[in-house]
Amino acid sequence: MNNLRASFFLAYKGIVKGNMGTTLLTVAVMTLAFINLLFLSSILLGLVNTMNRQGINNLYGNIVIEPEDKKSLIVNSKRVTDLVESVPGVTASSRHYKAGGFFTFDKYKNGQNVNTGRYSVLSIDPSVEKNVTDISDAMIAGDYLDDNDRDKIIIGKDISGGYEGSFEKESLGGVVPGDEVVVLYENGIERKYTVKGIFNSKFVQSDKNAFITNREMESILGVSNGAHEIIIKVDESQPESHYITKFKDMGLKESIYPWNDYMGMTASFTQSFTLIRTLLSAIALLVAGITIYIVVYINILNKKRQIGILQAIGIDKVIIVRSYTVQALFYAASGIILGLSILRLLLVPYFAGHPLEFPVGDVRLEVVASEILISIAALLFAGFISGYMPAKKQTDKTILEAIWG
Amino acid sequence: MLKVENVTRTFGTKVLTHALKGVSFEIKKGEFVIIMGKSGSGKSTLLHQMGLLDTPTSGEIYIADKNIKELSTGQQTEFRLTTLGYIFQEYAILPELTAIENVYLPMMVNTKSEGTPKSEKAKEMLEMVDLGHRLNHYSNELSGGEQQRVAIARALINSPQILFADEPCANLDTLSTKTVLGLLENLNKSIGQTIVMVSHDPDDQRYADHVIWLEDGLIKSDKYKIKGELI
Repeated sequence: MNNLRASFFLAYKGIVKGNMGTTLLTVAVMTLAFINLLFLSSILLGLVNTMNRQGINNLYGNIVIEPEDKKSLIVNSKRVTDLVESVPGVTASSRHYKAGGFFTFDKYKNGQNVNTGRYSVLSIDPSVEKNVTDISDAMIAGDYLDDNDRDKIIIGKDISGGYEGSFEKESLGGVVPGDEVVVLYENGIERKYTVKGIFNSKFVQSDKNAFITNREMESILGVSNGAHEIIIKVDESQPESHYITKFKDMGLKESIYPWNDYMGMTASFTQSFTLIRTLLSAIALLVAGITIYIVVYINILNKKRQIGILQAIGIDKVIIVRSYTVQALFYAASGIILGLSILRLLLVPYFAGHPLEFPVGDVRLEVVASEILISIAALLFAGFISGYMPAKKQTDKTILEAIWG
Repeated sequence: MLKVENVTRTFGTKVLTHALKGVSFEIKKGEFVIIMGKSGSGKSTLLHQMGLLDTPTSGEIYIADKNIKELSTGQQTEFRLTTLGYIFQEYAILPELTAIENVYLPMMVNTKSEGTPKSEKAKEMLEMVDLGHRLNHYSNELSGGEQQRVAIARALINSPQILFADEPCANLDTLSTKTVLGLLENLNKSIGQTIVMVSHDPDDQRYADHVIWLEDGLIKSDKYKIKGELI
């Protein structure tokens, strides 16, 4: 007990009466090391989550129902939507038809400056769709569709062009609401639409789509009460697999998939980012550990005579080593507290208000509790090693070596 | 109290330096011993062996009937804390502690002193070395002589059986030297503190009742003061 008190006493005095500049510098290094451990990793996690969230909010919902094997259409889609919406936790569902369309846009209607492109056309029930995807909130020009619209179309900014999208050169070159586009469908039917609105979901996979109403698409395809897909939004407190099992138990024969099965390339990015995050965290931890070690080691080197004197007057090695370890842990803990405060009180709110604009969407810092805990444990461990090792090494020397060098 | 038997100390591996070449003597309780000799004669090396700061190459040292060679590292630390006091040539007080904190630190970890009010005892010790007015001063606020007196108080806090002093006045001015040596003499005379001090100043012999002269790692003379004369 006395030894423990002496260790803490020496550590306390070392911190309080030590060189203030060195203490501040050490804490600043620890703070930066902690932020470094979490910052880039949080950006990448934000990027991954944004991509996933965009997929859910703009394309797939949480769960997608597709036609049974060897069938091209879900028949009696009302039956399916009624069934899935009866499951507790399902918040909404929306049926879609999908078709490929060859778009032609003659900006000046003189045949001189015609732009064309092949895009996906999805059909929706506009009022229902609002409950499942965020397209209705992403209009940047004109208006969203109404349920009764027949000759209207809304298009993504990567189709319209004019909004510095990622595919500006392949776009129709500057369509604005009120312009007319001609769409030739795969079944040979051609329709002329007035562009009612242009949307920017900030998700490239979504912004290359066009939407018409289901009524319009049913007239083109010659079907009714069907769907190529039904997307479902659920309460995310339960995993998608929970709902999928329920749907199957209720006798749905259609194919049912969770949203992440559709992420394709995005899923590969996610995996790559996860790997990069792990690597960056490992490197950041190594850098933090080495930095802390150097700072504490120099501090201990400067005090080696004191360590020798302490040993000479009969202070046990354990007390000395522990006092330097406590000091290093104090520096690490201060860095953690400051770093966490800067992250939570400055950086996270800042990036929430000023997100980084990536082609996949607005990216914010995503600092998760598990990573914070891992970073805290990692930095404390680095602090412990950085205090313990050099102090142990120093006290293992003979007393005279320590005093006289 | 202290017995040194044929102690040698050799430094180096390829080129050997024989700092002590076989030194034997005995010190009795209550003696004020001064080890004298020219620079390089081995006097500090000898003090380091007796103070358990270094290990002899060969020979035996007995302190309070204990062969120090047989003590484990932990026991040696305990021995330095409870049985020995050490004053260095340079002011060796810890700059991050006040005078009183420097003094009570060894008492803080001494299990034998549990129950004794530490700051009271430390204050007493500092008052004894005439630093009662400097209790909360840090080393940079104390003169060299005052720092050395703090070191003396610290060395005495656990009531050591032997106090070792390695040229404690080497860096002090005349007045401070007189004060520190007077203090050591007073300790020896008043409480019978056994003191072993290294010095190169022949004038310091007047404080001692036992003077050992070293030359080239060997004892040149080992004399006791009887009726004011070294015999």
